[in-house]
Amino acid sequence: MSNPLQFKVSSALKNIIGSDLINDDFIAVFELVKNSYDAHATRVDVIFENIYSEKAKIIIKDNGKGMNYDDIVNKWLFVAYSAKREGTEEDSFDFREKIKVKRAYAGAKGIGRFSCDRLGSQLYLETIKDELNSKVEILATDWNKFDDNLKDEFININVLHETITESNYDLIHGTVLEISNLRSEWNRKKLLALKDALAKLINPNTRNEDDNFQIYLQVNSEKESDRREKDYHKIINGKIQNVIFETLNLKTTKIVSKIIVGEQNIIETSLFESGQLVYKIQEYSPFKTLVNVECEIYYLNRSAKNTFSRRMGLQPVEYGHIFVYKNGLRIFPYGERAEDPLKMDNRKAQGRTRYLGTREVIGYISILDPNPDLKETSSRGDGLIKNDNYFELYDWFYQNLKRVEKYIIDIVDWGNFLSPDDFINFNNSFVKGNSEIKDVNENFRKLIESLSNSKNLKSLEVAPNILQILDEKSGSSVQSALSNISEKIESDNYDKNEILKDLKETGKKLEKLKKAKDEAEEEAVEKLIENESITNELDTEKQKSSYLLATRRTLSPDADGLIHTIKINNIEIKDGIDVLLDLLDYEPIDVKDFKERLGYIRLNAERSLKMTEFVTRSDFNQDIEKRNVDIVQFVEEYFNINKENYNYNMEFEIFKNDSKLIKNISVLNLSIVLDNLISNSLKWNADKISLDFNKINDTDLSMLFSDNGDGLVKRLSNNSDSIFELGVRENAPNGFGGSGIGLYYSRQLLEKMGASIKFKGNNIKLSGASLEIIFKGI
Amino acid sequence: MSLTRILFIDDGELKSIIDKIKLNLRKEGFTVVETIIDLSQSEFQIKSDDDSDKQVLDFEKIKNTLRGYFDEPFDIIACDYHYANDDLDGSKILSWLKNISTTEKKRIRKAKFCLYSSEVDKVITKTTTVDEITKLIKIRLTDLYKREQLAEGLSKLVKDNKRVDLNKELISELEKYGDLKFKSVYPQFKGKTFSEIAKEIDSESHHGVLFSKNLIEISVAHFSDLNNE
Repeated sequence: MSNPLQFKVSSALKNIIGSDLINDDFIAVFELVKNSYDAHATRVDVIFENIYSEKAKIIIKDNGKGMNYDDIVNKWLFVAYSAKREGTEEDSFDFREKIKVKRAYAGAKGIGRFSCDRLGSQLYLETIKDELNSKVEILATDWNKFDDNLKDEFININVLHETITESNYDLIHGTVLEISNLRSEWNRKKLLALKDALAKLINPNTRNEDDNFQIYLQVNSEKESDRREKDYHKIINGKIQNVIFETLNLKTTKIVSKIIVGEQNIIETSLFESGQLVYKIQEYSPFKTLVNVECEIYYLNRSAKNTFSRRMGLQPVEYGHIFVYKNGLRIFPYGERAEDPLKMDNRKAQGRTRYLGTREVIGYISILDPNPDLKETSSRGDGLIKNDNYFELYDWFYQNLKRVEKYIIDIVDWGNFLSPDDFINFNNSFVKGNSEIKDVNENFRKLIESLSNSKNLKSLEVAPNILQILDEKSGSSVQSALSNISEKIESDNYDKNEILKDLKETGKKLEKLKKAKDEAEEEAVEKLIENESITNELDTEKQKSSYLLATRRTLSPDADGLIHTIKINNIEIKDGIDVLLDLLDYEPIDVKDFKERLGYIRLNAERSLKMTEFVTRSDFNQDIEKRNVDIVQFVEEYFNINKENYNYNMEFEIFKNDSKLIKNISVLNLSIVLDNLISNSLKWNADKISLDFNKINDTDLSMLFSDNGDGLVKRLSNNSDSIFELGVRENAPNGFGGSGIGLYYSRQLLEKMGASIKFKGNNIKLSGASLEIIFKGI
Repeated sequence: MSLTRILFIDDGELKSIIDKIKLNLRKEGFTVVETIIDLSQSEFQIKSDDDSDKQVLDFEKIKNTLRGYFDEPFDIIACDYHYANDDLDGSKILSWLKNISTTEKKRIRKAKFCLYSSEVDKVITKTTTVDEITKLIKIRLTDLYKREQLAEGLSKLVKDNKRVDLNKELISELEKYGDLKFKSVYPQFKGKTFSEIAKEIDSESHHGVLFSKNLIEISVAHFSDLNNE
């Protein structure tokens, strides 16, 4: 017999639809602003409070329709449910509002509210619904609770609700999201970037005038700095404005295309030059599903770029390129500076002189509902979902782009030839490269012809005055004017005043040309200077990158030696641990073997640590593992420098007895041995250490290490060599036993450097233990 | 279990690396026996000629030690490239070893020669002349490993080297019964012990080569006979 079961959902879902999905702060803010827009707000304030303190908060406050208790329970807390998508969003809305402009919804997945988690771990929500007898509902959410135990179910994580009498934010209706315990740092630069991004959030061209939605940015901590700025783009606080397309209605080539829905859908495309219509074409749409879309593409020649830069305070390329809006709100990452989801630059790389890339155009694609299949990916930063509908949109966009390209290349030569007027090359011809001569009029006629041959053509309209302008332009160009004047003079049939008038007019045109030339030159010089500094920065960056990428940089011998030894140490540690881990799975562990391996790993870690001390004090021009040192001098120096580290009360005495032995040893290993011996002395209550050096025959050196501690215990003194075995240890009086590996490895390290160690006895030099180390010479 | 013998020539620590190789290969059915020539030992040091108290590696002492291994059947010789700031480097050691063992037809010549270093890019910058590169080619260097990948690299080399070397196997088998005396089939070797014959084969003497060929022919003939039964 079957019985029904249900899915359980882990609290980890919060991250999946929150901070893991919305992985960008700006996108998180946009999602919340979008929600305000969809809630019919006319104003949303994005407030950064105490931004440079630990109590920093982000507050998003709108005057939208707000929520009551039911809305909170059945919408806000109902994950992935979207009343906007279901169409019931307006059901509870007052009739007065229904006569307002009906906005199409920007967000409709029911997860945008989790953007709050991206921004901060604490959320305080306060909301008042725009209805009679409304109450102030508050909700406190601690997102961290969802992370405590992933075995907890999502639905069991509580959020606190309360109904209060008075709003803390003077709300009449609307919603406030107060986000604290911020996850990222915010600074002036980032806030200015947010402001820029918020400006691009809304496509002003798709909103009609009755639909008023304003965004305000408020950062009190930056008001003082704002006062020092005059440029709008450098001021944080205030209303966000999108002035881009106003700026652009200037001397540029522009194409506008839209799809008109009807019995048979029609694509209407108009090309403008400096605001004047060049042609307008209507074609039957070959696209099956593409409706309610519109695009504008502006081509920016050099002059247009200059004008843009002067008015906007930044280069067009810094602003962006082709933006995509759905229902008036921006979809990322279209238009973002470093992104090219429409693959324009790839295409341009295949034909630099034939195609336009992201650096030469600016514009937008606008999608309006109903368009359910042109939708954003859940992550919000990856654009539209790539389905058939998307690809139709893509093809249509490129159709328009190609028309701009055709016009730009064949008619106006990229706008490079500066004519007295609107950058159309109205001379009869221009030379392309060294050989090809293009006849403008002829090309224009060909263009119109090819448009008129379009198989889906419904109608074609060419601005009648364009041809007239063409004629006029050829007549009024400076060269033509001068040649006309010459002709007149030569003909001996001229009116002096007329000639003077012609000359004056020609002079004016020359003035204009000169001014345009000067501006261009000035711009070019500025660009040159900027490029030089950019080049310098680039060189510096390249050097940095070269440093990072180079396989071998010439290091000082010190650094070389350091790296060499550290690498060897750490490879031993790494491989040692790998072996241990493998052994744990592979075979039963012998405890002694295990200890030995761990001890070895520890030793190498100790060596690495020791290196850090040597770095600051030692001359590294030879490898620290292979140094020729006078052992006596080294030991003396080592104690003198390090005695403070051991014990404030420890006394050291060294008797050199004119001994000296130069030996090639690892000073690192010797240091570790010395540290180990001293550590043992400390554990056994010594406060005095004596070192006696003596030559043994002509080659060897003896060092007697003695302390005044408790000496070796009786148990071990009968078989004193056992203290050098692994694991042999005794509990020291100070309560801290050793690991039983120190002397074991000390002996090993000494043997490697051609030295030996043994226990000499108690009470030999001082009252405690004495150990003798013999260094063999060559 | 297959036995693999590796000779390491290094002045640094190798314990963990060797342990790792052994464990890796044990799982694959190989037993690894290592021999280490530890160049950090004083027996390989000599006082420098320039009267300073500097001690350097004594190449002659290293050569003498290596000579003691000429007849050992090592499968791999892995040599560290870099020895502190010594002028001697691993490629010089391997070059000498390869040259002399080939000339003298010593068994060690059949091992795979590998270099490794904790600073491979230093190796590369040093081997930019034609001479240096030629030297490496002549060594027939199997590989140059980064030290941190030495365990994995050598493990893989052993595993991938499963190809049977007939000569090597023949020598090994003959040596197992080294005292037995050969009686017939190849008259030139009549009366020789198996181990003497193994030496002939190993040194690629004229009769050593002919004997190997002869043995293969006889073996195939024997298989044919078995097939016909």
